[in-house]
Amino acid sequence: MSALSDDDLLVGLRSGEPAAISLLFERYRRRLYSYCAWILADTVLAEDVVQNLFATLSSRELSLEKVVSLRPWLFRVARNKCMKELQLRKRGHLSLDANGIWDEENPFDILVKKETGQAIREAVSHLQTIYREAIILREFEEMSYSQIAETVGVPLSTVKFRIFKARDTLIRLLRAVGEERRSGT
Amino acid sequence: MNCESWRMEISAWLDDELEDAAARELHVHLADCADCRGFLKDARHMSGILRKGGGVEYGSQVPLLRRRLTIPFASVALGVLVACLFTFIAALALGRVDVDVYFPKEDQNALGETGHMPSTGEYQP
Repeated sequence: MSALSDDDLLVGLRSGEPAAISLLFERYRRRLYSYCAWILADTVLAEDVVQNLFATLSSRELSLEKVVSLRPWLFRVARNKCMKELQLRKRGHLSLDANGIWDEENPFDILVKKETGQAIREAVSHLQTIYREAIILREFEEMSYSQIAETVGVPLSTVKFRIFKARDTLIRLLRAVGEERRSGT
Repeated sequence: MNCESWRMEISAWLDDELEDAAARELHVHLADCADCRGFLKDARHMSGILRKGGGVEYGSQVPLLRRRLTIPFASVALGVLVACLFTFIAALALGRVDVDVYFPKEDQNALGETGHMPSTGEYQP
């Protein structure tokens, strides 16, 4: 059963096989959780979102007829649930303004005190949602640009720009942090 | 094309999302531009770090104060059952509970005259 491809799983899900849902849960629970935790910056809420997602799937509330590729679809459903949560908390900054790339404020002061790996991860968590999700789906989920485009619901060129912008911003920030450390020692 | 545009191409190339012709042009530019080579080096380094330990492990790395106390319902039910059983056995051992066992009418004969069933055959606690 575990050797089933995502396409086989999709067929099983469409016919409402409980085994397909269990396998899907085993295969994607952790990855969806990690993705949601990054988007929401809240592990407890991420757990709730993932449980809610699988409950929705089990109850067959979601139509699977138009689903072509399972993974981007699954992450899109998770993303939509996260966005709803963010809107509820009024923390979602979905602006396309490229000048405002940080979620709240520039995390420079926080990062100066951290070791490099931790500083990079923390810097990612401070990015605006649209840039954060792009870099997460690429680096952690290793999705292709077309899969990310499908998940997020934007053109390929937008995905390319957002990933670049996230990288560029993180690199600039971390260079500044490095310089600050050198001048401070 | 300015350096910012080239860096967007570098980012796409790192992700294996650049076509061959564009990649060749990019490498011509990289040979001449130290700043873009620096970006490539840093982007690779950052990508390596992120991929190594960026995921959030299920159930771990959860700050203690933000973690809800979640006890499965089955554990609670089992705990209550065990507690009730223990109390009942203790009370029984102390002789503080009388146990009447009810047998249906058809089983009365099996008890005989020394049985504990009331003579009416009906359950009378």
